[in-house]
Amino acid sequence: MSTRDPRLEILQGTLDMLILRTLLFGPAHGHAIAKSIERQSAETLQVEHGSLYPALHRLVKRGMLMAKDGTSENNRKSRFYSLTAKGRRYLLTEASKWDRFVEAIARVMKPASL
Amino acid sequence: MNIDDELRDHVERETLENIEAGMPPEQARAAALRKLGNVLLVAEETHAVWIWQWLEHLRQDLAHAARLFSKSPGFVAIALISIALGTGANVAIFSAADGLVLRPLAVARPHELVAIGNRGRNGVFRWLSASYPDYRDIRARSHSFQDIAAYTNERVGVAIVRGATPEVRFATLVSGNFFQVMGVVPVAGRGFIAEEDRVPGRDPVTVISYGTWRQEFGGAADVVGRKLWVSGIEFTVVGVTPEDFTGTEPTRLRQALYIPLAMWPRLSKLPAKSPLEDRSLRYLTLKGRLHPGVTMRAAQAELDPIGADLERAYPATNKNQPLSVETEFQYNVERRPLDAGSVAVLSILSIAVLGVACANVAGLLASRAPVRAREIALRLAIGASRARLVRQLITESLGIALLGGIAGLGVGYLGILFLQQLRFPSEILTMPAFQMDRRALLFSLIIAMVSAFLFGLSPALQATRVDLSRALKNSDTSTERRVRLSGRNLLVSVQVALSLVIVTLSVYIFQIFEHDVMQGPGFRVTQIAKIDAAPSQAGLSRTKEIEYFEKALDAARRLPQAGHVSATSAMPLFHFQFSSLVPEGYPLPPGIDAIAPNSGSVAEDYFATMEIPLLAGRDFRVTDNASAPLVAIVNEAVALHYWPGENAVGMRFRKGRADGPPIEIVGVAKNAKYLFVAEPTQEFVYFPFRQEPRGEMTLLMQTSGSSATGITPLREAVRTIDRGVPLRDAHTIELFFDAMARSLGRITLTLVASMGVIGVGLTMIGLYGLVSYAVNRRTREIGIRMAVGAAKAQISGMMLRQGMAPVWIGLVMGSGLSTAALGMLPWLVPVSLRYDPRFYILVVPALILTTGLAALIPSNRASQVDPAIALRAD
Repeated sequence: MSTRDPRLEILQGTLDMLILRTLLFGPAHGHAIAKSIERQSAETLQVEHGSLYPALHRLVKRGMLMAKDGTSENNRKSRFYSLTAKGRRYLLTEASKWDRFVEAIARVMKPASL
Repeated sequence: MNIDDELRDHVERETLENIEAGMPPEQARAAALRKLGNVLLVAEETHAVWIWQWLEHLRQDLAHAARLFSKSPGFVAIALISIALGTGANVAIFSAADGLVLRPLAVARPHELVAIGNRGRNGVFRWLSASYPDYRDIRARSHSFQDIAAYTNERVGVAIVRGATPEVRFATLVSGNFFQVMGVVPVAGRGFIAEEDRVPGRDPVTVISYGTWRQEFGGAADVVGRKLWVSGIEFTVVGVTPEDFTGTEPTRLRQALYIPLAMWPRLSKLPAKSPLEDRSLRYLTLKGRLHPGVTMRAAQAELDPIGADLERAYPATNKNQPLSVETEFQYNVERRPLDAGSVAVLSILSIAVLGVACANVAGLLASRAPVRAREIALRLAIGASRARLVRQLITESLGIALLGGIAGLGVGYLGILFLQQLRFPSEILTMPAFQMDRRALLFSLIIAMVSAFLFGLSPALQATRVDLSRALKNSDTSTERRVRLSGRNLLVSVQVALSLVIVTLSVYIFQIFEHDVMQGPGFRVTQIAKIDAAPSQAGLSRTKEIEYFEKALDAARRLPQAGHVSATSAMPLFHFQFSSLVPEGYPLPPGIDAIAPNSGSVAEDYFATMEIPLLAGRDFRVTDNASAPLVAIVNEAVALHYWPGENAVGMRFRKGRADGPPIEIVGVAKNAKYLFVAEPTQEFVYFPFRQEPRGEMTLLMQTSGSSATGITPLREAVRTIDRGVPLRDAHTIELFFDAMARSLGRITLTLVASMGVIGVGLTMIGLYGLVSYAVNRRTREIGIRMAVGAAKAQISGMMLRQGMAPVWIGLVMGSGLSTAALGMLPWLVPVSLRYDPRFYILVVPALILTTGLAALIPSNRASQVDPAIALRAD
């Protein structure tokens, strides 16, 4: 496994959410999803590329994503993932839960000034 | 696109990016792979996602089932016992079927082997065989087969040490390609090479069986190259067959060694012409290995014109002898029709038992439906798919079935142990292998799954068809209840019907054996000592053989305890010999040139010794010898068939062909049993042994005291005549008859009776459960009835009457089924006795009594209901 990195390793449930979020903007293949997450988090979040694919397949299984084979820009054959309606719904519910969770933690960590 | 391709794509993209970022190519790829982590692991994990979900569901279903079952141990216990008995019975019978008929030979790819030949016809036996010249022609002209092997079995005298008294063994004479065609690889040495089977009589080589290697040679490592003497000829051992190759007749013959067919002329006891050149001598079995992809029909289509050509070219020997090809299984059934028929009957019974068992469990599941309805409705309401729920219920059924099946293995094993008690009292015969092997285990697994579907599917589908609102409100409307009750009633009717069939068949089989075994086979079965002598295996000529037996009979007669003494070449219930005869003055049906009745050569005084009455004419005399006119004695069946209304004494046969030497009938004997103790009437012809010596005979000596004391004197008396003649199977006739007839009857009856008891027992449980259930559900109604004045007796009477209703229906159904089954039985296993309908008088009331008892107990309970409590109940 990877050596401990100062950058955080992502837990599985949150990885699912990040994938769904990334695909909100349109379909992408596995490699692009990984790169996108890394880039957007300003390299803070390190995606173990190996855990990406099981997560993608799990999401397909649960009906949140759809997978289709296609050709990319440079004429490579790749597998593209896209959000389903179920996945979109799930993302919205989870995202709002996440926001509230983060807010709650912040309030505990940084108590309101008196 | 599969995961491997996907990952490969990913790595390539990452590598490209790294290169663009400035890394050298090899480093770029290495970095990309590192980032991906262990590629194999990733692929594995992804695959695993799919398997895990299925397993997870299974685990959930099983845990749920286990929880439910622990809450109702009574239900589980009855279900498990029912399935255990049902599957156990089937496993035991399967092992019988496998041992006797089903198991393929222990060769490579047995499904490719087929039997080829002409169909011989002799009474109840009709199987494929061929002559050696025909074999050569078929092999040369056909292309459907990779190769064809031929073989035949001969009794030979084998000695390990030069000059020792040979022991009689079965040798299998095989074509040079036999081991290749069978795909049997010797465990020591080699098989035969084509050259060794080319020149008749030239190559005395042998491949011995594993058993022979262990027993006669002590498993010696240097057995290849050692010598042994077969019928006086020195043979060299060139190989040993593997332990699991039990020969070509694994259900009966102990095949000790394999010899090239080319040696047949030197070993055969047949007179005159070499068996390799005689196109009319059809003693070979041909087994061919089909080319992959060639169907049986194609092979048959190829053989038809070949057979026609042979008919045209050799009309004397091949007229009306078309060629056929059939599977091993068909061949087995034709070779041993009695085994196949018995197995079929037993299988019918065991399937009926399984039906009764499954009906029990189905009834139990149906009665639990209202209990589960609420739970199921709830799950359906919150979104579970019906398929998921059906799968859950089926999993529960499978759980019961598998657990019950495992318990059933124990029951089946008991049955197998019991079957293994069957013994044939001879050194040259072997027992069929009844065992709990992989095939039996696989079969029991299949049976368990099948029964799970039988009893589980319908209740599962029914249960999930629940009306949500009604179920959630927990009401149990009368229409639903009535439907459920009538379903269970039907099940009980089916159980009663099947039980009736099983019991009826059991009684019939008992009748048969009781009549034929207990009453005797038509010859004396007490106080006779017997021994088999085989002078032909010591190389004695016909004349010398006759001399030998004359001296042996004489010596036996001089023993103090001897009564009548005689001998026969065809010991009843043991040997099967037949002759080809043409009855004079009898018009044979078209296509048949001669009859082939069972026959045997006997010494004078045979009928007195065996206490078979002579109804007309005379016994054989010492003067009926080689220089006298040919004579024969026939049994009643022959006389009645070919010369009805006339005295058969004085009539004539022709030997072999219509213009063959004439044989005059000098006596008519009463019918007896010849092959099988419960056989229908068979035709039999006796010859005097001086005119028709057959190489081996069984000497029979009546003893004034116990027969056991006669064995040793008899053996010694005979041995001193010529120490070179092998003797074997010295027994009392009591032991012989017990093994060949009584034990067979005992074993069959026990198996059948056990199934009868199981069937009736399970039916009783089923009926008890049904009436209990009815009483429970109707507690309120009973309370009301009692409150308005019904007497206890009236209540219990009502429940009993209603409980017995399915029984009457079942008896009617069962009577029809039983009649059909009884009609079918003699067709499967030809037997001597027609069913006596008076037995119904015993069977039906017995069944009514037992089921009545089962219904009585809960009915009685109904009358104990306290109306006050009942009316308050939900």
